[in-house]
Amino acid sequence: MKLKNTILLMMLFSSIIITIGCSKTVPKTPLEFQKELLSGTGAYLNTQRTWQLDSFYVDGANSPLTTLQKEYKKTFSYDGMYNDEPDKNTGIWEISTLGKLKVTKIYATNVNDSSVFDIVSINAARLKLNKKLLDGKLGTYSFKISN
Amino acid sequence: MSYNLHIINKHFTALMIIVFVCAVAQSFGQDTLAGNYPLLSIKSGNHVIKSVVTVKGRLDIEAGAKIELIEPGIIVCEGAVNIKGELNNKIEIFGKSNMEGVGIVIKDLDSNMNSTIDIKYVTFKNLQLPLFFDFGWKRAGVNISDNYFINNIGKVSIIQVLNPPFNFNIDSSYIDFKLKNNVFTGNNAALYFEDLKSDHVNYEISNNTIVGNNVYGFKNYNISTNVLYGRVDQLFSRFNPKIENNSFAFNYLVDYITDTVVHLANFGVYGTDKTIDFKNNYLGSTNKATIQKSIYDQTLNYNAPKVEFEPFLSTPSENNPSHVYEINNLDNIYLEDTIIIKDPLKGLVLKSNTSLNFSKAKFGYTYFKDDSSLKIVDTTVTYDVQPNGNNTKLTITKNVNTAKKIGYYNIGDIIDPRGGYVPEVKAGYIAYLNDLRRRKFIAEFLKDKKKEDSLKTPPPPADSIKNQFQKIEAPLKSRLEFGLYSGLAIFNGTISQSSLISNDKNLFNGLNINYTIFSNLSVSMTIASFKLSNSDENSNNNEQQARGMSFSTSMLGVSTSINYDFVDNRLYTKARRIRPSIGVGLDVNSFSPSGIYNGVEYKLQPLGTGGQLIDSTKKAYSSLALGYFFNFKIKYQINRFNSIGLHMSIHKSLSDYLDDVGPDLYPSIDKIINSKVENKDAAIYFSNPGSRSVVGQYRNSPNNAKDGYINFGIFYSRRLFK
Repeated sequence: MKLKNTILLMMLFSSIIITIGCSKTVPKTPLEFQKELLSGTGAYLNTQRTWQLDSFYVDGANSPLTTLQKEYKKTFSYDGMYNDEPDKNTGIWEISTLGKLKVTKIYATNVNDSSVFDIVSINAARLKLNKKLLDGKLGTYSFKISN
Repeated sequence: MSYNLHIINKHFTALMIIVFVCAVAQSFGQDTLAGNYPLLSIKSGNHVIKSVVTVKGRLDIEAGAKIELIEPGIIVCEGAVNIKGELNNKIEIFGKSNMEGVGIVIKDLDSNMNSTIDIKYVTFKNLQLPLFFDFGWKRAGVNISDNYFINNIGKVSIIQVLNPPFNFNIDSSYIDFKLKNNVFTGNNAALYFEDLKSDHVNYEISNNTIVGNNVYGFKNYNISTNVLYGRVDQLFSRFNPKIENNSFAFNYLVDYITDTVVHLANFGVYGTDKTIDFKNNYLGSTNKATIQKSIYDQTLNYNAPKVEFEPFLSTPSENNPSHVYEINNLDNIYLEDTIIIKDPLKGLVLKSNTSLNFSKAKFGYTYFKDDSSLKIVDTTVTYDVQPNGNNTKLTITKNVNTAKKIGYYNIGDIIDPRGGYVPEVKAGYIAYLNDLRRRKFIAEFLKDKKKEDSLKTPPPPADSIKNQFQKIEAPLKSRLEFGLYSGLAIFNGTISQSSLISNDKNLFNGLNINYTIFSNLSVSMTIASFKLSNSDENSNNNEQQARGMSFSTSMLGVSTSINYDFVDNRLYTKARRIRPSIGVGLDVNSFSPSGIYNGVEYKLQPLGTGGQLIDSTKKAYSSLALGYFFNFKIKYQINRFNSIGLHMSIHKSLSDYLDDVGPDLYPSIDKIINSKVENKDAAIYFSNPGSRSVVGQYRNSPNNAKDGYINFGIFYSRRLFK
């Protein structure tokens, strides 16, 4: 093999190495990440997340849950579907702005009922949502993961 | 060195473009033709033929078509053939290099009595047998004109025309066969006509340029070792062939065995007739005796017809395709084709049948580097062009020092007035081939002698440590070699998949110092910096995908290894430039896996993702890991000091935490919340990114793989001291 060819070959290898070795992966945006924490990534066995009501506060004061309320669960699917237990409401959810969760329940009569929650905090195990109640007070719902 | 760098600069872009073009061509694909067709029309564009394509009816090929024939690719035509390119948009039918296809075969009687063969403005290149009229073929007429037959490698024929069928004799009709204005150059075979005189084929072979062809044969000059040959019988000879105004020059018989020029080889004829007209052709010379040497006829074989070649043309017709027919020196003295060029010439005067355009011409000078080896030097000559009608004076403006070794001049890429191809011109090539043969003979002799000597020497004693690893009598510093390594690193462990190539690939860089201990043994130390990363998302294992873990870690490692070198380190010979070695070693790596949570990068070890920090009985894993590895290198020794090569090493770590995922149970979320970990949100997330119910499971399930990585790439190394 001639020297010229050898050097050309090595330069070609170098180019390939640099091209492959220096390629970057783009990190997820905070919005995408929040959606993933809420509903999963869409990977196998990670297509939905169920959150169980853990505690409820009104204007910062603890409001003890009844046995039935403690069984209350919201399930968010990564494809945007929503359902809850034991009311068996179904609907859709979306987070179009960071920290704002809009849940739209669709009843059998085709009547839609939308609520917007403020996401106070979310991590892989806990979800805390705020919502103005009908009487003008601030309701804080605290959920824990229940997969 | 600067010349080499210049070469690299010059060709690197071209190489990149070629790679890109190849990729594009691959992705778009080509039209591959195969099988039987009742009719076939080949459009402009790229086409590939890798097998037999039979066309029962008419074959049409449009201008601009490029057809690559790959062995055993062949087009068999049983009907009319219409291959018509255009002057500035020719058709190309060419063979793939080293897998050359055959060509076009015309066979059988076409049911349509008026069908013809028309081939015009086509380039046939690099084929085994470009055109073959098989025995028993018949069409109303044949017109092959304005085509190029260039560098066809087959040693049988360029065009072979066998006879029409026997029962055709009772038929008074005939085939008009015209072969006009074609260029035949650089081919390895002849034009063969089974019966030049015939009752049924009326040949007209005129205004062709047949120059610079090498007909392969053995040392004895005979009928078939001419660039044009055929039979001339007294019987069945209604039509005399018209062979006029052709230009024959620089056509030779070349010996199969030695690849050297044996004889001039223009025209050969045999058969029972007394004479054949071969008048008004240019035959490479104005000297009758020289011309006679290029013709095989009654002069050499009493049973053969006499070729009547007088009057002959003293210069080729201007109507022929452009070509150079005579090469003179600057004093306008004819350069014999057997001239031995040891001293560079001052220039050349080229005589051609038309004016020529040298604006893109490449003027090369190739010569041997020394007295007896096969090493050659290719140089590009700088020159001035002074056209004077059909004569062109090329004055060489800068001569190279050749140390008086035999060489030859080669001028290519000359263009005719219409922008067409002009055959290459070579001066001193015959002497060059003769010297090349001499040198090959010496090389073969030396090889045989070496073999013989090796048989005579007593067999070496059985391998032992003592024989394999002999002492080196050299100072310490001259045993040192320093290297720069670069390449890719691929993680192979818990967060990876079995298919290595599907894992993340990161840049690897390293510095190496190598010390030669014995003739075939060396030790080396490498300091390397690289990154490892991967994600369960890349996996094709569902369980792993569900686990959803990912990591990235910077690695800084120090490795020492002991290597067995297959080539004796004391030797530096150009015959053993390629030097492989294998080795084993130990490494120490500092690592620190991290992950991204909500856009922020967190070091994973302080988070205790495996529950290491929720229990006072446990502690965080060490970020220093021992390991072992196996490596393989192949080095190309450029010269005594410099070498380049490829390397690969397979590493296994004694730590299971390079990717932060070890054999720990998934920790309880409540315990993490109650622990002293600072970033609890991140710790909860990284401990179980899929938020699955995983009570009692280990984090490194399902694959439970041990961590390791593979590095591979290229290196440059240099000895700093003599």
